[in-house]
Amino acid sequence: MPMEIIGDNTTVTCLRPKGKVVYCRGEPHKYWLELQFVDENNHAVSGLNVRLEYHPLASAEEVAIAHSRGYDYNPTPPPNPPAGVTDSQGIVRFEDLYWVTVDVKVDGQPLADEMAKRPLGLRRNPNSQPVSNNYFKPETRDPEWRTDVQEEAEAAGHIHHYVTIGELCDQMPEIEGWTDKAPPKFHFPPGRSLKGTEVSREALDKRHVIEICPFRAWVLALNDTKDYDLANGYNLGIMADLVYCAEAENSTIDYFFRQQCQDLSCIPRFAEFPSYFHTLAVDVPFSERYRPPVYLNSGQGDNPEGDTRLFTVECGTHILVAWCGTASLLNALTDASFGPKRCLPELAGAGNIHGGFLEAYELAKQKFDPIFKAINTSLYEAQGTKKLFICGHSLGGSLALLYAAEMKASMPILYTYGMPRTFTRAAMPSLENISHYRHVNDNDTVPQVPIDADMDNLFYQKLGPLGSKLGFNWLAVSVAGLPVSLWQKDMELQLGIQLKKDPYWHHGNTVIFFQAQQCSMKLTGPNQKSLTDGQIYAPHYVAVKLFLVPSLNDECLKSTGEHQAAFIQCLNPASLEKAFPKNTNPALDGLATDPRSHSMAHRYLPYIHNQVLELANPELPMTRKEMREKFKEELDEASGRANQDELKRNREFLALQDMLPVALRRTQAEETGKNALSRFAASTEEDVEFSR
Amino acid sequence: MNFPDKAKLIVTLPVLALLYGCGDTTDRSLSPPPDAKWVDVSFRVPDGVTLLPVEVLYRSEKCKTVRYNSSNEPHDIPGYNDFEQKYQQQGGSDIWQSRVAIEGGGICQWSLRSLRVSFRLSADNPLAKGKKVIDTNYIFDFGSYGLSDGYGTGRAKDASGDLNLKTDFFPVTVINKMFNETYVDMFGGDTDYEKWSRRYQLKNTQKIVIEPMLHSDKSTLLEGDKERGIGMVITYPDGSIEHVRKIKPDYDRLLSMK
Repeated sequence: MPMEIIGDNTTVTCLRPKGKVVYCRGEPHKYWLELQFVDENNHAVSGLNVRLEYHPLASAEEVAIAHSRGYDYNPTPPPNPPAGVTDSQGIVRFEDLYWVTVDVKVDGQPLADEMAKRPLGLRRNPNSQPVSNNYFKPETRDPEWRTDVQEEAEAAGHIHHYVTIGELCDQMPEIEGWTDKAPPKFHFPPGRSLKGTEVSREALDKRHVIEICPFRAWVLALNDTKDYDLANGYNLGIMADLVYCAEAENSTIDYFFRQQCQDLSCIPRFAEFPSYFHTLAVDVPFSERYRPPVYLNSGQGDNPEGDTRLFTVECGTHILVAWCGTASLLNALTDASFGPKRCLPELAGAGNIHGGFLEAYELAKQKFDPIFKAINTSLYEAQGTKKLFICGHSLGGSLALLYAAEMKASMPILYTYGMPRTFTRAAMPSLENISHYRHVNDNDTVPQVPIDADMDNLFYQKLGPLGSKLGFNWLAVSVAGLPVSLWQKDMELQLGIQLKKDPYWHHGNTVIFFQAQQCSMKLTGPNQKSLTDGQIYAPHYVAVKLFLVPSLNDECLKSTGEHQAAFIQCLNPASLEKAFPKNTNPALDGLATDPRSHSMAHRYLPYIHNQVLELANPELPMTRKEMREKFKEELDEASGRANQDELKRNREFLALQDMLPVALRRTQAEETGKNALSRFAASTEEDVEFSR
Repeated sequence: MNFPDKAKLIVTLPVLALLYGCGDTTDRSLSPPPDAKWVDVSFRVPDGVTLLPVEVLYRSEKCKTVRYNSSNEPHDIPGYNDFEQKYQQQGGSDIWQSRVAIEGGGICQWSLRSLRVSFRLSADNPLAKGKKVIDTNYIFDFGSYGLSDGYGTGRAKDASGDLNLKTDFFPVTVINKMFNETYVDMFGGDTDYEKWSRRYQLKNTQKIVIEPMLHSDKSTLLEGDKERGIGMVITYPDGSIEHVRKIKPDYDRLLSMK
């Protein structure tokens, strides 16, 4: 060591002077600093231009105090060391540093570009959460939490920092399509951005591992496929529920897409009473993020024409349009049954459609022309690289189908939940190319209306002015016990007209959450004494709710090789066809319908949620699995004594349920999708499932 | 028809009846108090443009309307009073005016939340020939719970006092082969950016004067990029061409050509 120590020299070196002044002659001791830049998967980030900036030697106040005491003190730090570039291991080493705290800064644009390409690590860091300032959405930090990179770095004796790019960038990078004045809050935390990451002078002579959060954003895992996809079914279901939230000020929808989808500390979640659902979200480069959502509300709440609500949002890979099922539309449904209208040529070409829906739909389309035009232009611009996903619950499903019919040229993917019949049978052929999955929760009332009755234009023209009045009578008569077909004959006689047969039909592939029952004759309990001697059998019912996607069997039949291995065995199409007739609902085990079964938040979503969770984490013990196991045992046990048709059907249904893993294979094919499922499984737990 | 279907009906009927029983009885008549504040909207109609009636939206905290969530649980929201009002031509000039009370009064104490000024290229304008004409809008908010998004105005920015707006508009045509449609609208900047937003949250405003400047001879054309198979080709009024992955022209560039 060339340095000679004079004066106070109780210490051997002047490496770490602490509150003691050590006078050195010649060159003072110099320090080194090693910085290793990695992403969340501990992969090196090389080629970064890194600079250190010394802090001023004293704060302005300290200088002022020194001045007031008559000392002249210059706080200017020494010149900054020369910049360095990270090597293949992401390491850059600085030598000959002064004992002064430094800020680490990196060239902003190359850093942002590189970090946009890095996928997120599996586990999310709760401590990276932005400050919420919202009493109702408190922060959930966990000081004990350690990242994987951190565990490794600290075990090796290094110092660990977890930073977002804003805490390293020397200046704001260009963010494509960013229209807000303030930069994105998560990646550029207010107060800490563009200031660099601090390494205190006490922490010099060490290696620091700087873990950089990738410059990414969440988008919903939506897969471009004509086949049934469970990620689509779940995420679009959440969207069909989310659209109910907003009124004029779309704070909930806005919060979801603009805050939650940019907050990488946890997966985005739709949390507003009564819905609490974590989404299945994948991370994409920040430039592919969701743009601000557009919420459309045609206004007045009292007539169906003016009460249409929907939202649309766009990201790099898809455009989402979610339609709300409004109460006044449901109201119109009863009237609409009696006044069918011709289809618009651009919609379907033939067949009829409910008048009320068409008016509501057309008013919204015309009112919000600028947005619908923008969607069309955007789809055209992307030339097939952006997929249109459309969804809706209840009457929102009907509007969604109308919209899908109009958007046919872009081959949209439509998922509906508890949707009533909207088009008549004659319209079906022209709607054939629309990829539509229609979810029905067991005995939900709404998909059962209007009843498969025979109403057509001629009839309406004859009775036009009486339409709604007759409508009431029609229902009253039916309720009184006169079958519709008989009543129709009666009306035909009275009016002297012949009705055409063009009833309202369902559209799309059915996905049904089916409460299957098995009845068998069982011995009554040993303590139960009968009047006569001998054994007494009594009917015994067991039931379980199954997630049935009949189209998976079609897929199974068409598949070959490896793909077929994913299905264990296919079912006989003829017998399935009997259970799931096309364009109508399958016959249900229960007798009456139940309007509570129509609830998105309490019925549809918890059920799909649990199904996704079951497949995302097959190890997880779940009540629904136990129930199914019991049901299977019951079938085996009852095989001799039960109704053979019922038994066969239930076996087929169980086989269909077992085909479901195939509906997640697209999400599982990519690393980001696998991570999405793992994060989902780690964040949520089995929800309460109602049997109906 | 078999028994289960009848059973369905029996359950269905009362539910529908319960949900949607009564008609709407809200009193929507306005009677502004004598000291009510008013706002005057005046619009200078450029040649070849049609001014549509102003949309007026009042809400009432007193008379609520009911909304249902996806589980059919009701909740109250402020009542709606939404109508269109005609403008009055000022003499024989191209200036049209409309006057709206900010405090609408009446039994429901209606209060003005939004005004929407809407206009479009006239059907007989040669620019509109054979094209679907898209409306251009300004929205003025006087409180919360006003009109929704979706009118292409962008998000509201704060403004106070009287407003005098002179936006430069350029006709922009989009040929969309995917849907076999051609649209034309008046482009006044990308309203996603606050700078060009045409929506204002107003305070202490009594007069709004809008004098759009339509540069009819400076047309822009957007078409699909056939060469690249993705993106758009934008042909500017000066004949210059841009290949971009955007759906809106560069407004600053257009302004430099006016």
